[in-house]
Amino acid sequence: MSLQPGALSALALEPAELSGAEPADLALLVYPSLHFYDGRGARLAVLNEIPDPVLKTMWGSFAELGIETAERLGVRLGDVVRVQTEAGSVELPAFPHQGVREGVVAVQAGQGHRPVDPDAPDPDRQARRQTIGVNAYPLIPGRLDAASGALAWYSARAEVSATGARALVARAQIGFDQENRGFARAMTLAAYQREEDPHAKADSGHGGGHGDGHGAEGEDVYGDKPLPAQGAASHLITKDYDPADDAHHDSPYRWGLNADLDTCVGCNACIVACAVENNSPIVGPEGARAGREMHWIRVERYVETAGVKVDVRHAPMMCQHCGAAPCESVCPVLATYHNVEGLNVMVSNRCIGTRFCSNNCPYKVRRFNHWAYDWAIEEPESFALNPDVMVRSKGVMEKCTMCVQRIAEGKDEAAREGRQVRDGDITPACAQTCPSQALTFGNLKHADSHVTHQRHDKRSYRILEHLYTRPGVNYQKAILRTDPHEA
Amino acid sequence: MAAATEPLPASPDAINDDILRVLEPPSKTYVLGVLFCGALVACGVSAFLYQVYWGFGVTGLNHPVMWGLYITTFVFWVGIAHAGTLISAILFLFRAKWRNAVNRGAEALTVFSVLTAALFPLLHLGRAWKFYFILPYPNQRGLWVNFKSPLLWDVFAIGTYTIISILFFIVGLIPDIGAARDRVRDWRRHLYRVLAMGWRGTSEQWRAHSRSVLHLSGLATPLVLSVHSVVSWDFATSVVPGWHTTIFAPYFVAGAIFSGIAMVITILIPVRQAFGLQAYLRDVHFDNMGKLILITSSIVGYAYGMEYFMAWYSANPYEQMSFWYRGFGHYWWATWTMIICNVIVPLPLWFKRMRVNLAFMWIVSIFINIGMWFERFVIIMTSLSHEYDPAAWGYYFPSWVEWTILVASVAFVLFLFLIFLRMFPVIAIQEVKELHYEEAH
Repeated sequence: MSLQPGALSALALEPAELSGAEPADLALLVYPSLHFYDGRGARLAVLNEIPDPVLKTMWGSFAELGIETAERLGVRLGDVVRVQTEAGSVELPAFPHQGVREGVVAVQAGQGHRPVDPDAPDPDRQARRQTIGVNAYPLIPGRLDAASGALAWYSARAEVSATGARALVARAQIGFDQENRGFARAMTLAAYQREEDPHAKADSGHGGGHGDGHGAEGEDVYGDKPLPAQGAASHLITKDYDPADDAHHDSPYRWGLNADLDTCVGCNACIVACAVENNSPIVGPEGARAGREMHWIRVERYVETAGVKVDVRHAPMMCQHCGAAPCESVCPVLATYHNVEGLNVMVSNRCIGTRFCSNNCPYKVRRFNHWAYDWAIEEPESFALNPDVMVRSKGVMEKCTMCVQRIAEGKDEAAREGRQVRDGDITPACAQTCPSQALTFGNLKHADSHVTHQRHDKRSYRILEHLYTRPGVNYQKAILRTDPHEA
Repeated sequence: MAAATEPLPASPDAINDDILRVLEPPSKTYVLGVLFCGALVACGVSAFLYQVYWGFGVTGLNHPVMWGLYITTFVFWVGIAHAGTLISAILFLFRAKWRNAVNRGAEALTVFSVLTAALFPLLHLGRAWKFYFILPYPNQRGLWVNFKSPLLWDVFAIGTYTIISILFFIVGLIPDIGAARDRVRDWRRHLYRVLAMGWRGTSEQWRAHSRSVLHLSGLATPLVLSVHSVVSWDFATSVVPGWHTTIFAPYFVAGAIFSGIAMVITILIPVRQAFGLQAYLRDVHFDNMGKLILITSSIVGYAYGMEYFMAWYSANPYEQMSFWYRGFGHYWWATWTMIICNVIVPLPLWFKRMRVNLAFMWIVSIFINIGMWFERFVIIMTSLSHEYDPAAWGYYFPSWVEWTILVASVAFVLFLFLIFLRMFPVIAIQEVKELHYEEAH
C-alpha cells in the first residue's frame, strides 16, 4: 500500500499557529536529539561524548541559528543566548550554521538532566557531577496538536537575546570544507553508469588527494570551487601496489576495511560501538574542549556547495593500517609495528609517549592518553569494560586495532574447525554496529572476499594515497543522483 | 689581528690576576642571582613532577598538536649549544685568533645548553620514567630499539655531542685550573687538584695538551654540522607538510650557529662589564661575532624565503596551505616575530659602527634569541596544527606548566653559568697569554 498523492491534504493539516510575543521573533524548533532521543540516553557519558552528526559538538546543548539570523541578532558561535518563550526560558551557547532555516531557533531535546543519585557511594563524586546542556522542554507551551492530540512541539515563537557571556564549545571538527583534498569523494550516477571497466581506476596510479579529475569519466565532484592545483598537482602520483603484499607472504590474511560513502549516513554509531568495545576512556567536557577525545574512529562531515545545491558527505576515518605506515618508522622503541597480517599494531605497554607517531600520521587517527583515565574507574564500573581489551594508562598512545581481539577469536574458531577464516567470520565493532552496512571487514589477500571486490569497484579510492602509505582501508565514492554543476 | 681599541694588559702576571680575580669571594648580587636562578629551577622541577604525576593533560598539548613547547625548547637549546664548538673547534682549526678570549665562555655555554637540551626529550616523554626503553642495551625484557627512527638518531647525536663537548671543555680547562690551583686557597683547591690532573706546566705537558685540543677539535668539527642536521631530521624525515623538506639540515645548522653566537653575546657582554674584562673581550670579538651573525642571519632569511618559494613552486596544495597558514593563520604573530627578529633586526650589523656598539649588540642578541626560539615554535606548531586532514585541524597554546619549565630551563643554564664563573676561569688564560706574546713580539 502506498500513500497516494493528495492523501495528506485530506487530513486538512493546518500550519501550526505559533504563539509568541512578536511576529519578528524566531520560530522555536525543539527536536529530538539523535543521541539521546527524548533524553533517555542522556545518562550515558559515551553518548554525550560522541560528536553531534551535524554540529560535531560534544557535551552540551546549543541554540542553532541560521547564519543570517545570527548576524541580525549579533550573535557569534559560543555566545550564550537566552531563548525565551511564553512558557519558559533557557540560556545556552549559540551555534549558527547553514543547516538551519533563517528565522528559526532550533534546540535539541534530551539534555539538561540534574544528575541526582542519592545512592552515590562517594559524595565528592556526586558533587562534581555537572548538568550537561539544558532542558529544552520548558520552552514548549504544552498545547496539544489538534490533528493528533499529541504534544505540539512546534508551537511557539522564541525571543533570542545575547546575554553577553561566552561559553567554550567542544567541537570534534571545526571546518566542513575538505579543501579539495579528496577525503570524501563522490561521482555522479551518469558517470558511474558511463564507466565500463571496473579495474580502470582501482589501484591505478592516479593523483591521490586531487586526483581523479583528469577526465570526464568517473570524475570526482568536488563542488563548484575551481580546482586550482589539480593540473599542476598531477605529479602527486601514486605508485602501483598490491595491498596483499603488505602482509607476510606466509600469512593467508591481509586484513582490510571498506567504507562506503554512499551508504554512510554519518550517524556516529560506529564511534559508540568502538568506544564500548575497546574501552575508550571518556574524557569529559573539559577533555573534549581541549581536543583530547579518545575515539579511535571518527566520522568526518564535509559540505560541498555548488550553487544552491548542498552536498553533505560523511567519511568514517580510522587507522588506515597502512602497508608503509609513516607512524611505524618514527617510533624509537618499536611500540608500533607491522604485523604479519598487515595490521598496524600498537603495543601501548611498550610506548614511552614520544608522540611522533601521531605527528607523522597523515590521517591523524592516533590518540594519546593525556591523563590517567583509568584512575576514575571504580569497582562496579570496571565490570563495564571489555575483558578482551586492555585498559591504557596515562602517557601512552593508542589507536584502532581493527578489533584485533575479534580477529584472534575468529582465527581461534577457524583453527578449531581446521580451516582458514572465511569472509564474514570476523566483524569489527564498528562494522557490526553500522546500521547502513557502510563498513565491511575482510581479507585483502583473498581474491573473492567482499573487501577485495569492493576495492576493485569503480567507485573505489583511498585517502591520501599519493603519500604512498599503502592504506588498508578502502573508500567508495558516494553517488550523486544529479550533477551539482548542472543543477 | 684586527685593531684593538683597548690595549692588552702589560704583563702575563697581570693577565693571571685579572682573570683569576673573578674567582674571588662573590658579591651579594652574585649570591642573590644564583639563589634566584636556583629557585626558578626548583619551580621547573616541581612543574615537571606535577606533570609526571597527573599526566600530559596539564600541558596544552592536544590532538593534533602532539609536540609543543618542550620540543621547541629542546631544539632551541641544542642550537645554542653550537656556538661553543664552532668557536672553539672550527675557528681553532682555521686559526682565527680572535676566538681565544671568548672560547671558554662559549664552551661552557655549549656544555650547559646541551645538558639542558638533553633534558627536554626526556621530560617530553609521556612516560618519562620509562626513558631507558630508548637506549639500546641488552636486557632481559627482550626490548630493542628502532634504528629507523630519527628520535633514536637524536639519542646518539646528542649523546655524542654532549660527551665531546664536555671533554673539550675539560681538556681546555686543565692549564687554567692548574693556575687556579696555585692561587686559590679555599676548599676549591681540592677540586682543582683533581681536575688539574697533575698539571705542572712542563713543555711535555704543553705539547700533549695542544695536541689533544687539536685532535678534539678535529672530532668536534663534524659534530657542529651533524648534531643539528640530525635534529632537523626529526622533522624532515616526516610526512608533515612544512617539515618534509630537504633544506632543513643546512637551515637548522645555520640557525643553530646564529642563535648560539647570539647567546654568547647575550651572556658575555654582562660578564665583561661585571668583572671588568674589557681588556680581554674587545671590539674585535664583537665585530667578528657580529659578522658571523650577519652570515647566518642571511642564511636563515634565505631559508625562510626558500621555504615559501618551494611551497609555491612545488604546486603541492598541502604544502601551500601549510605555508599560507604559517604566515596568515592562527600563529601569524609567531611567524612575523620570527622574521622580524631574525632577519630585520640584525640588518644594522652590516655597519661596523653598530657591531662594536655593545649596547646595540646586546639588544640585537636578545632579539635573536627570541626570534630563534620562535622559529622552532613556528615550524612545529604551524605545521602540526594544519596538516593533511581538514577535519583534524587544531590549535595549541602552552599551559603554565610548559611555560614554567621553559623559564626554568633558562634559569638552569644561567645557574650553571654563574657557578661556572666563580669556579673556573671564564677566559682561557694560556690562550690570551699566547695572544699577548704574539702581539708583544
